[in-house]
Amino acid sequence: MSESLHLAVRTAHVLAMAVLVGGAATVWLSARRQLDDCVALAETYEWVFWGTLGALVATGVGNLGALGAPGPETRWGQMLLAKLAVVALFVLASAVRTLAVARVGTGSSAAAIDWSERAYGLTTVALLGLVALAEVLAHG
Amino acid sequence: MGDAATATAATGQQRLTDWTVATTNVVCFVLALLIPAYASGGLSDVLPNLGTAAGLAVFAYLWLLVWATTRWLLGHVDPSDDSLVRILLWAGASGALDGIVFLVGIVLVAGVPAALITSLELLSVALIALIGTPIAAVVGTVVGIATAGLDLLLLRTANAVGPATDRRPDRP
Repeated sequence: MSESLHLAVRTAHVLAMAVLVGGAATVWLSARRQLDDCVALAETYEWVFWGTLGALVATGVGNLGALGAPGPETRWGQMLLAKLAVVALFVLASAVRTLAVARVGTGSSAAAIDWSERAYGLTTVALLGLVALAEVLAHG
Repeated sequence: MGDAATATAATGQQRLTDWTVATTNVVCFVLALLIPAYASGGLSDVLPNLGTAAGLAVFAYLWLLVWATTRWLLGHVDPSDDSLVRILLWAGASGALDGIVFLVGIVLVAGVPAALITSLELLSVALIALIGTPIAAVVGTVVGIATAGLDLLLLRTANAVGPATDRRPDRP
């Protein structure tokens, strides 16, 4: 039971990250191609983003407990602390992005589309950086 | 866009703001506990003993609670117009409510059944709730005020860096 639960938590953690990266890249691509619906797509992504991010953090803490993580003095521990600090900054920057999207609404002005291209491009890059940090934690 | 469509869009935007602010607050709260706890070395021994399912349930409960109180809070204050004192007072009250309801929920779901099936006395559980409630209210107030300060900063930054708009959809 415990092993199955831990496997389910790890799977949910990986899938949640896939949703965040895939969604951000999709919105970035739609903004880059100047699609009319890109701001509406961004708004939908933001709803999914925050639900998935909450699940990602919860399963991340669950993984930490289940794996019996090494202490903070180890190289792994230092890397985890660096990742957590990056996650904290990413969460704050993402809140700014979403609140800006909520302010604009579904209007697809040229300025909103250009802004979306920059914002979701940065989001995608930041998420890929977090994936790289997670890879280092998982495989050294 | 007609009046009804405009109102529906504004309501949707307000709900997205509520959802974002609530989740940001919960995630930042968890990270603010997790990072120093792990850095001090105390977490490695504690976390494995808490239980994955219980931890996920507590997180989900906190998230739901903060979402509900954030919607309530943002229904009563307007971050773009109200004074800082008024916002912080409402945020403190909202945080105190979060703290009390969180503790009472944990006591009811975990403490009372534990008292019924283990050697733990029901009186001890009641005593924990009695002493814990004012402490939870004070902690909730402090966290509520701190997160409100953070939320105001995030909202103002979003206004400054976001794309230009001639509408003000802060409230429905």
